[in-house]
Amino acid sequence: MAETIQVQKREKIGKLHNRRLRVEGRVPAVLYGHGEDPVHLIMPADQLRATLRHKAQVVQLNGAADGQALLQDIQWDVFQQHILHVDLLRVIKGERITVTVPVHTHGTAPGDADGGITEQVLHEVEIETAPAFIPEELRMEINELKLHDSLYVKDLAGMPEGASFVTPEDELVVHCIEPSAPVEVEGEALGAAGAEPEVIGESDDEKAEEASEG
Amino acid sequence: MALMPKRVKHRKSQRGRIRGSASRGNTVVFGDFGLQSMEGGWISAATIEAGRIAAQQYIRGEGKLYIRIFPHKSITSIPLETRMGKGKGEPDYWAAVVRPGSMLYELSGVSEAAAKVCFARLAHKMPVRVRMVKRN
Repeated sequence: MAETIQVQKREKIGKLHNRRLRVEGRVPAVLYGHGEDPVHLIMPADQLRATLRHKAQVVQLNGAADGQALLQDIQWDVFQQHILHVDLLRVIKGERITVTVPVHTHGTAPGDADGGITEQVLHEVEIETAPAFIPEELRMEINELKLHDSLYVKDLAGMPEGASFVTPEDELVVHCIEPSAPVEVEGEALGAAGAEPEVIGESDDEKAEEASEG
Repeated sequence: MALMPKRVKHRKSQRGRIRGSASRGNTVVFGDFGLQSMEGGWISAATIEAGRIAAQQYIRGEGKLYIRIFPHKSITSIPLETRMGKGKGEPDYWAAVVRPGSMLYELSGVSEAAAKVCFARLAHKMPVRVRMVKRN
């Protein structure tokens, strides 16, 4: 069951009015898709935050617009504390949609005990599924991940019935590797004391001139 | 040894002003945890290196540390006891220009508790106020 959000129609558009809305604890949003005209909406920030806290990706709209919508894009402020704007994509019952789902690892890799490091390379995957069956997360069991072993998208658990991966199935998700030697940045990027980088387009004469001035 | 560019177009740059917040490079991309700047400022190459050493001494090869900033800006200075004038000084050090919200470092492969301690050690080295953030 999708979370319900009460929405109002937004008559005044533009940053001045949107800023006023945000001060009042409301969030500007836009609803589009399926060839229909876009609709400017207002939604309460607290309801939206609760929806995000519950990891919902599809919401049931109520009020100025109805039907289901996918939370297509959420704009946050620089410090990811306030929601600035929400894009909603209309969803028709029975249609399959492409969503991004987070990937979490579960368990302890035996490779860690052998001196390896478990590194998660891919943190989210795209899947195509029905809106009613969007999973909260996909799990990667790493209980059998030995040193130098890798796990791929196809090894993910928790896929809903009838869903398929949009991300290539042979993409690396997590691997257990040997710790690298202390990271030393390539020689040229490290400046020895008093060293100066090469100046693009500077001739040898100019260099000599500079040296004599210095 | 500190970071510096390989090639530059000009040896010296104007000071510039730090206006607004970071509109890019402000999210955790590579690791699980990040150290985000809350203020704008210049972070010298030596400071970036000091932070890297402080963090790596704590994690000791367990996790992976990512440095998200690079000192592109040359900072000039005039030698001590020199009369004013006679042109701009000579390049003294290199610095990264940081805007509020910039992600400075990221860490992966460690627990949240370990990342917290690691970033606390690192934060002591920074000339700007910072906070730890988790991947969304």
